[in-house]
Parts: sequence; structure tokens; C-alpha cells
Amino acid sequence: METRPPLRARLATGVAALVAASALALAALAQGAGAWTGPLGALGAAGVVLVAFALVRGRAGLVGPALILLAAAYAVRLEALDPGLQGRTPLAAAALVAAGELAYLSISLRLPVAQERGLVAGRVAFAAFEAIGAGLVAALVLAAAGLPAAGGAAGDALGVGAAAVALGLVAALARRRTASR
Amino acid sequence: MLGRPELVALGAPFAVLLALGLALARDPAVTVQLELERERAVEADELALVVTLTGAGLVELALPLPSGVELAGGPAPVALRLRRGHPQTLALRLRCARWGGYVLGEAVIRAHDRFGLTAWEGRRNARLPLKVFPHPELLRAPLAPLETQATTGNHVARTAGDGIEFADLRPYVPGDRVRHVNWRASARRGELWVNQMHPERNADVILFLDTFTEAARYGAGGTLDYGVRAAAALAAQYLEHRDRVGLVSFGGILNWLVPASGLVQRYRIVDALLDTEIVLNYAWKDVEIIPRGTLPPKALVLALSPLLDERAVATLLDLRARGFDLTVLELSPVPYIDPAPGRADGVAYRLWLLRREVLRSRYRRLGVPIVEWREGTPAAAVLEEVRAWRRVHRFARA
Repeated sequence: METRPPLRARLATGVAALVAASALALAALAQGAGAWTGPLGALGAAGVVLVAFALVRGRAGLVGPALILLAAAYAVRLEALDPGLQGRTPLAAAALVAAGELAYLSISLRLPVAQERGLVAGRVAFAAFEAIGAGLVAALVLAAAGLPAAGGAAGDALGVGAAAVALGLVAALARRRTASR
Repeated sequence: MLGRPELVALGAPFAVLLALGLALARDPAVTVQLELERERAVEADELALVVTLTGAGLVELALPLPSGVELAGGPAPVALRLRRGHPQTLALRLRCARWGGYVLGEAVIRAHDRFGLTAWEGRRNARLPLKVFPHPELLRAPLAPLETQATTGNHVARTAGDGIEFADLRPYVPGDRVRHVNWRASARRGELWVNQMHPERNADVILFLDTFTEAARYGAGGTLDYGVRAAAALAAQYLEHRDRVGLVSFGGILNWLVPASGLVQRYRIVDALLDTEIVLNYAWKDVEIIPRGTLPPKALVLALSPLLDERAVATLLDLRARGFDLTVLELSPVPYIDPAPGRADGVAYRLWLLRREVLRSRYRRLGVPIVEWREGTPAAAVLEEVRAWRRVHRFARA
């Protein structure tokens, strides 16, 4: 069993998280954002800087807001400009999940805790698995959105209903988890 | 609403991860068993502590150790993955850095589910007692008491009687044994003369440990530390010489052991010393509060004191005034106290040193040998200094 905190793994995961976050920020600026370059660049840069700050200071609570900023930059680009990024959305989702998971992992490795051999590698592998899964889920959502289905108010109602059910499901699970402690 | 499925595609993975994480999270049911190699150790000993963990999930384990026991080897705190039915065992090495009585076995556990969304925290306390005895110090010979007791022992008594050591000659009186006749002296003087011998007797020794206050450096021990070590070494030495040894721990809390001899008394004394600590107390205490049986007449009182508290200083003077054979082993606080920078502070420091010297002179004027004992000085050297002082000043002590 390793007896020293894994400094190399901490740095590697931190750098990987920053790379994923930077890739997402650059994706929002890709193919010419025109007049939106400034705001989109500011949003993306703020997200990357927040991730970096969280990593340097070990503040896990800042990772969530950083992901929101990065996602916002991407969403603004999608909404305001040509939706030419549609095909890249699964990649963006994967990068978003990877950035979050790796940043949390890097911050958790700051603690002076000896790690079981292979434990960090396993956690990195699981983070990669989660990122791939996120990409697949995003692709599935996009594929489902592309199916010929009835649009209009019925479609909107179905979407809102699905979102509400999803939220309710998560809330119910969280409530059950809290009650079982 | 926006007609952008990409936004849903961006958010859906997080919702799925959240739902999966919450749905799959299970109580890790972590159990911790701790096993200590043995319950008794000597200072600087290393002990094995075996930790066995069962349960499931990613587990972080921390083992808070009391001050005085350090981790010498092995991973702690540690993060490891547990699988059901596969207990994990950790072998740790603990170093006993300081004497004392400890309770080990506290474990702090934090377990996470696979997705890291839920955490379980808990504490277990196996309550493993550990007694760390002071490191034994070798003494060549104990300090001889001025007066001995009535029972047989290893000290040569000052009185005459049956013994091995020659004391004097005296004229023969009816009833004297023929084997005691000194034929050479009798032939020279023309009448019978007999040898007188010093009998071998034991002594009552009281170890008087001042626990009112101590001088110490943070994390580096202090006067109480080596005072306890010295007391343990002295007790062991006197008990090996078949003397009766008692203990008075005189401080915020008064502890005492009436004098007795034997191995059991040695363990009693060491156990009592392990519980010794400085307890702040402003109440005036003097010799009157010490139970009478604890200080038998003609006892040799070996006082281990930093002479920082007026109550201890006054009590020792009182003991001398009551005729006890008192020796003060001054656990010097000087190495632990640095003069503050500044002219006035330097003057205050020098005045303090002079006052201590005056106090020593006061004890010496009363016929009390007092020797400054600094940490690291062998006990044998300190006792030899006392012996030397006694040889020079033996008339002053009467």
C-alpha cells in the first residue's frame, strides 16, 4: 500500500480537469462567435479560472459553479448562434462530466491520506466511464429528439412532464437516502 | 420551450448520474476491529496494531492517537476499497514516545458510494488500554539513608549489633559470645575485648514528587517527564535492595502509597506514576495533608521537584524541620525557560536565577543536600553528587 499522498496523481487529474474545462470553453468559441466572442469568452474563461482556483485552493464547492459557467457559455452559443455545435453536444456533455469528476478527485487527493494501490487508477477509470456514459446519454437524447414525433403543445407538455418526472424521481431518491441514514 | 434538445442533452447526463448514484447507494456496513500487540510497553517501544476492516465501498479510515503515542509505520489515515466478504487488514506500528496510561482504539470512518454522492461517517472505539512505563535508568548504588529501620536489609546501620561490617571494640561483658572475642586485641591489653559490628538493616524511602507545576517545552517534554522516570528508577533500585518504598505525589491532587517492599509495590508505584499529571490548584497545601502513615519516622525522603511552587518549597522545609532525612533532587526548569529579549527581561531572568541559588543555599544551610538535575544527566551522576555533599557536610546534618 502506498504510504504517501499521491502528488503525481493529484497533479495529473487536476491538469486533466483543466484541459476538459478549457476544451469546453474553446468549443463555445469555435467556428467564429462573431459579436458574441467577448461574452462567450468571458463566460468560458470565468469557468476555467474558477476550476483552476478550486484546484489550487482545494475548494470543492467552487467546482459546481464553474461547471455551470462552462455549460452556460455552451448553451448561450447554442441558443444565440448557429446550432452548428449540435453534433458536438455529446462530447461537450462528456467533457463537462469529466471536468467535474476529475476536479473533485484531484481535490480529494489533497488530503494527506495514503491510498491503496490501484485505488486512484480505479477512480480515474470510473470517472472516464462516467464521461463516456454521459456522452452516450447525451447522444441518446439527441437521437430521441430527432425522431419524427408530434410537435406543438402536446410535445411541449410531454417534455415538461418528463422533466418534472425526472426531478421528482431524483427528489424521491434523495429523500429515501436521507431517511435511511 | 426553446426547442433546443442540445440543452437537454447537456443536462441529462447529470440527472442520470444523480439518479443512478442515489438509487445504487447502499449502506457500506463498515466494521472495524483493532488488535494491539500487548497492553504494556516501555518508553520508545514499538507495538503492532492490526486493523481489520469489513464492509463495502470506498472507505477512508483515520486513527486518532493520544499525545505520547505516535505512528511509527504503516498507512494512516488511509483510503481503500472494501468488497463484501473480503476483509482488509492493515498492519500499523505505534511508537510509545512518552510514559503514561492511554486508551487507544478510536477509529474515524468515512465511506462513500460508487458515485461519491453519498457519504457515511462514523466513529468506533475499541478502547484498548495501553500502559507505557518510563524507560528504566540504571543506577549503580542507591543513596544510603542516614538512619535505618529495625528489619534486615542491605544498608549498613550506624548502630552496633550483629552484622558483618566491623564497628568498634569494647571490653567483654558476661553474655557476650566467644566468637566475638578479638583475640589479638585481648592479648595486647591483657583482658578480653570483643568486636562490635554494624548490622545490615533496611530503610524506608519516600519518593516525594512535586506535581504542582512543571517547566516544559511544547512537544519536547518537561521536568515532570524526567522526574517520573527518575522516580521509577529510584523506586526500582531501592526495592531491589529490599527497602520499603513509598510515594507521595504532592500537587494539585495528592496521591500517596504507604511504604512497602517487593515486586508488587514496584508495580503499584509505577502505576501510580503513570497517572501523575499537573493539576492546577490554588489551594494552600502543606505537610499536614499527607497521611501520617505515609511518612514513617527515620525515612529517607527523596524529593523530586522543580522548586517552582511555594507550597512544595515550604513543605520540603517543613519536612526537614520535622527531622526527616531529606534530599532534594532539583528538576531544573532553567533549560526550559529562555530569557526574553530586552535589557529588563535579561535582568529579570538573572534575578530569577539568583533567587533560585538563594533557595538552594537555604536548603543547604539546613543540612539538606540539593542537587540540580538537568534532563540528560544520568541519575547515577546526580546521586554521586549528593553522596559527595553528604561526605563533606555530614556534621552539619546531625
